[in-house]
Amino acid sequence: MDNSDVFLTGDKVRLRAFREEDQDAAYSYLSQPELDGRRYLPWKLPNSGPLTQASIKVCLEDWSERDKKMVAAITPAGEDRVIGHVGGSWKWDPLLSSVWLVVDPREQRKGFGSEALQLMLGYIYENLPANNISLWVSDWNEAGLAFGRSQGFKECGVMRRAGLRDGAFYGEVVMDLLRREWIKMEKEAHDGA
Amino acid sequence: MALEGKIVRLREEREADLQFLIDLRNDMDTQGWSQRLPPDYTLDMYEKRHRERDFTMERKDGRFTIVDKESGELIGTIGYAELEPRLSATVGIAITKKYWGSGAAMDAIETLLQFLYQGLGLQVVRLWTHSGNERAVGSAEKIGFKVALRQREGIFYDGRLYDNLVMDMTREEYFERHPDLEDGLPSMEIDR
Repeated sequence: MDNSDVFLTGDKVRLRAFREEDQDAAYSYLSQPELDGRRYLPWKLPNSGPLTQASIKVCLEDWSERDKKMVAAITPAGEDRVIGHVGGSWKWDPLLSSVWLVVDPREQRKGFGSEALQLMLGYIYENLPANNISLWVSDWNEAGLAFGRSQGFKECGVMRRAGLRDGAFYGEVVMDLLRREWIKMEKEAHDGA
Repeated sequence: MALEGKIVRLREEREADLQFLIDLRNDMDTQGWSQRLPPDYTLDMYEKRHRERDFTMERKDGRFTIVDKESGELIGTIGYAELEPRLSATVGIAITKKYWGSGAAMDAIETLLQFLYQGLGLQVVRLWTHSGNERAVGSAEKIGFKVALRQREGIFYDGRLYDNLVMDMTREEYFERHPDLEDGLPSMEIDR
């Protein structure tokens, strides 16, 4: 297995750069109906509605750029199949960074997403002068909101009327996790281990 | 034709405005941004920015110089950006100190808001500031903006951490405050 483009490694997942040959795998998981509206693709690409292979190609090209961001493919440990992506951005100000996570619905509830997100949080807090990491989740995405809370994020407001979905306006709930809160969580996890 | 307020006019930025805009940017009290910028902006930089605005009918932003209607004096700059057509935009303003507390800023914002809600048909208008900028928060609240988002300790300004704030106003909230204006847009939500 080629490890040269692995960013981060956990017990359950490896995070590596997306490769050209991941296009079909990315298309497969991003096209899952449950991810409609929550794909966390680059701004210029559709977050909902039908996806095309051409869109995925543009997406992977965007994700290969490391300018003040990192988007990694999530692969289960010991396997090289892509089951999702986790990203971090510090474009505006590293003090106030943001993260996002997408896991193939067929691979959820196995701990992959939790570990991928924690690896990304660790990367940002250990390598960047970040003090606040925020997570943006649409208010209709109950599972995403519950997941954010389970990872220690606290709701800090809603960007109202972020868009329309199924005939109603929705907002983007923003949740944040401070550096000192993350450090405390890490310490507690380590002490408890 | 410019956007006309009660005491201010919002008109296109002109080359003759540039030194005034540089002075506004290089004044640490009027920079109008939530991060500290070095006060070293030059005429060359502003001329380049002014020249590089391309003509297009697909506009994502607008930038205006604020002028005192009575005296013709330059007061500040105001604009909107991140336009999502018929949905949202973010506004920003910077006013020269001479006009602080004169009502010019509020008139400029109200004038721009009327354009955004009635001209562009937006559903929500936002502005970004931080918890240390009490003047901006107070003025925005007087106009009808509410704090929608408070990202804790995400801004570092003049040696201290502050919360990053997003304030917003929905279309309904705007027209409730302006019963003299008619909202000609139907609701975009579907009542099932």
